[in-house]
Amino acid sequence: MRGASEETRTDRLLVWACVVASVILLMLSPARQERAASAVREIVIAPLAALQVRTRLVQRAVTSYDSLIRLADSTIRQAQTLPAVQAENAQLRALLGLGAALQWGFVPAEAVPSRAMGDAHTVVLSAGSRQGITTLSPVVAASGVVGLVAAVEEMTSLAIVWPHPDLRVSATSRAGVGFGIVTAHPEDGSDAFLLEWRGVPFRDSLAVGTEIVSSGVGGVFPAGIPIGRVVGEVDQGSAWSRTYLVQPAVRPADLSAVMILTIPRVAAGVDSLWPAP
Amino acid sequence: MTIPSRLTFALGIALLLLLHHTVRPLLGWRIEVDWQVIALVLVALRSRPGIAALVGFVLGMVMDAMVPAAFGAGALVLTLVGYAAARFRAGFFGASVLLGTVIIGLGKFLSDVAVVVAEGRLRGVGFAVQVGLWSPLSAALTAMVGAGLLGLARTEAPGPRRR
Repeated sequence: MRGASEETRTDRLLVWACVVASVILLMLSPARQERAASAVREIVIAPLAALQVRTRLVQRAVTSYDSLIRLADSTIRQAQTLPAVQAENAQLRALLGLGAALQWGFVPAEAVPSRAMGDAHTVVLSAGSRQGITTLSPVVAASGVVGLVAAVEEMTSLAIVWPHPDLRVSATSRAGVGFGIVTAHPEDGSDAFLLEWRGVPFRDSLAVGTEIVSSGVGGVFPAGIPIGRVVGEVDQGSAWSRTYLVQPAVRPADLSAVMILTIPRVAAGVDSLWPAP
Repeated sequence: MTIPSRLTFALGIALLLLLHHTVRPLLGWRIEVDWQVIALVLVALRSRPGIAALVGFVLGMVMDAMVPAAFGAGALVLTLVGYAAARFRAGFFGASVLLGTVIIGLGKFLSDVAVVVAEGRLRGVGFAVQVGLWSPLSAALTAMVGAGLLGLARTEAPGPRRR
């Protein structure tokens, strides 16, 4: 009998077939790569993502159980000050408020960070084409823009979120002063989570703290959804336009629940649902 | 290998893959254990080189599905890691868990680098920090965990062929 590790012609053929297939996959156009990745995600990742949602529920159940034990040991007040539970409750309360205000044209979803190399910049959402999600559907939270659906499977979808370099939102100030494009700030270190508001006309000078919202130009994000606040200006030596640094209203890594706006809702607009603070 | 021990092994591998896709994202650590690479080397320990390469290819494709821009890079590296692990096994694995640990660490590091390079998203300092700090640390942690599991599996694995 041959040893399990002794190489035969079949082994060599298999290895070469795998290597050639890998190289072909690498050389595919981005659209075809995405199609192939989507097929793999639908077959393998979707059930695992569903499992992840279950795991999160179990995690929450364990957290709640801990809280109950603390309630028994201590006081209700002490248990309620658990920062993680408080933050999640606040998030869910805000989201419920947003859902009530939106009334129609949205799909609530769990957001599971899918860590690639470096910072998290995509999330798997627990809603897909069966729930009416399409690519380029805006993903929002109670505090503002989260990201954009990049790929849709039957039960799940993949969204790009801040600070993904491909995520761009047309923006203006709450008062309608200045128009430009908000995108990721290509810096490392402490500035890595900031955004850049580029192409703002030079005549439009904005103060630190000015709230930036989506302008609705381009038709992907409806107007009036908060993006963040101006924290300073970047000197890029341009005589015609300004670039501002913006602190995002939402930090996607902290989110566990989001809302996906449907295309009819985007077309109808969400004016005044995110009032000025 | 008896049927019950085959079943135990298959369950163990399934558990490792499950850990990779459930526990790892929940922890969200920058330095992470790649259970997938460990599972691949464990499979390679008991398989023919061709089968090990095929398993590496499939696991790599699943890994690449989350980073479509680098689709194929992880599959290529894990194919080679699976093949190399199965090939080296004949001479060394039976005698040394150390080599298995090195292949796990090297496999994790190379798959990280391949994905980062193929994706092309990280540049400059970000790229250097990922490749020079986070990836080697993740590779070292994966190798350490892998060493423990290889030690456990070694008692079950067949030794080197004697002529």
